[in-house]
Amino acid sequence: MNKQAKLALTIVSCLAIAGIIFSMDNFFGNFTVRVFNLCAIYIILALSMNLLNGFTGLFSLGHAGFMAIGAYVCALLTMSPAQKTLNFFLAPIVPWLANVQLPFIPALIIAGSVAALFAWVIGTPVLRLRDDYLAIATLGFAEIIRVLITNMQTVTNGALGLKGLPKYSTTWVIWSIAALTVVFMYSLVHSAFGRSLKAVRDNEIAAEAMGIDVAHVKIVSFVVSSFIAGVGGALLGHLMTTIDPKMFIFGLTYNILLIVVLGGNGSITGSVIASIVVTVLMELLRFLDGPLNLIFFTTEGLPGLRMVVFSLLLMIVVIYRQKGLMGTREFSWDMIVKGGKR
Amino acid sequence: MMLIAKGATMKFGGLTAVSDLNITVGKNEIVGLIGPNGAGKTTAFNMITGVYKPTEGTITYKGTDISKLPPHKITSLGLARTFQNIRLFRAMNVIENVLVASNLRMGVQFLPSVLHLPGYLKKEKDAREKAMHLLEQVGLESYALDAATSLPYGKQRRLEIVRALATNPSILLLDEPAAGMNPQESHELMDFILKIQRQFGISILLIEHHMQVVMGVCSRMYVLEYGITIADGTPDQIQKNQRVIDAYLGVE
Repeated sequence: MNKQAKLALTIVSCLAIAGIIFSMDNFFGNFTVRVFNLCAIYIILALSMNLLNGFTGLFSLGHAGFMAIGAYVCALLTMSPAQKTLNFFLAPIVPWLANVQLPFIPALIIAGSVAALFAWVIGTPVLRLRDDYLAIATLGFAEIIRVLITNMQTVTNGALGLKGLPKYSTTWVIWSIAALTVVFMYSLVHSAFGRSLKAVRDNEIAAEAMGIDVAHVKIVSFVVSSFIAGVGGALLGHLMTTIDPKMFIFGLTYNILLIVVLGGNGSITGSVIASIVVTVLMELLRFLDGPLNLIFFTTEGLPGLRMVVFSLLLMIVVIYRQKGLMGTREFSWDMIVKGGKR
Repeated sequence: MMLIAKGATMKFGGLTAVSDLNITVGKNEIVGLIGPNGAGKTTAFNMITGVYKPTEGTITYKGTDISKLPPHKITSLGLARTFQNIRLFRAMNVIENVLVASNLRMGVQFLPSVLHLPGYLKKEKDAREKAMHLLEQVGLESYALDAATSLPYGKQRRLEIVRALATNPSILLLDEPAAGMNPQESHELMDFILKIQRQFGISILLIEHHMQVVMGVCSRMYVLEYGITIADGTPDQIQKNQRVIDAYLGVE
């Protein structure tokens, strides 16, 4: 296929996506739109995790923590003083936060930056660890954040959470940020800095011997990934309009990890496709959690049964196709033309 | 002298892997480091390149003490190395492997590189041309876009050497470049080592088991046994040295 044809196809599909976003925004019901928007948020989150796990080779499980930071910072910065007073009825909010109110975009950037700042602070000691040790340390960090949020009553409203966040996460906002993240990741991975990332992933000792400052590369990757996770968390908060510490349990990180592994560790388009498929499936399979009639026996509703399906899927992928849907490759039009011939 | 190791000693707990290593490498010199298995040759390399910090002694390069510097700093000063067990970047193709090493001299920064700013694009273009030129010099240009790990063994070794050359070194440290090669391949390698020494005007420090290769290319050499330097001198002197013969063949 020649270049012009590919370019034409790309433009047509971009327009088609814009068309879908437009029609979603205007003609579909609340529930469908919410699932559709959730897809984009998972795209953002999966890409941010893929930057660490897939492109830098850092097995980190701290995503829920960075998302929580982003979500809370953004919520506290955008809620009106009146809304805050309404929320903080057990103990009043600290004075320095009571009257702050910023527009959404600056709040979103600050939310990401605060998450990035946390990543920078914990990164220096934690990134000396490797593999499973790093996973345990980052997982611990996420739990610490959750416990802190639960207990800092006057700042975060504790276990009660925050309600009535302004509904700033519109379809256009979410999908634009998702598109921006895709473009950003693509140019990062295809840059000289991206080469350093992949070199660290492929062989740390050789990377160091080639003059790459491995510690620096790792921390930049960790900080950038956390920034994106923070933004993703903030978008999620403003989509749901309610946040509480229980939202940011390990299960959330697990969902993102599931997407990254299914899509292919180290593939941007793999993460995008898997985000959409998994998010949609999670809703379609919701019936599994309810009462089931299996002819021979009936169940009275087993909450969590759909996660069993995903866990099985993950096991099958890990056993039979470790590289996931795309491996480290990217989607291209040639791939479709060649089809199964490859 | 370019590189001087003075009394460099490496202890791992109670085990002394290398003790009192004294070696020098001069400009445009090819120096060999030989010894039986487990003599501490690779440990010596790891000390020089910063993978290990020597427990005692100093290593100076062009007058600067490098014994406490991290590996990437040492590489940026002008020492580059290859590995005994080939360490290529597996998921990358041949030219990308070389380009990773060019990052050092390009001075890659996060934002200009991600935003593809004009200054970065120019440097990237230059780096690609330079990498391609390097590949041409060693006859790997037709493999530029192949997966690095799909190359035959001998070519992977060459690629590792080219990758090290892309960091613009003054001293190249080769860790057993002839390992696993047949006589024909090791003969080609000898010519190759002599050729790059002349072409790039660099010094080479070489670990090798293959006696033919070491004797063929080195002007001087050091012999290690159990971490101790038992002999040094020209190939002729070494071949006649009784302690070296004993170390290799064993004594009654």
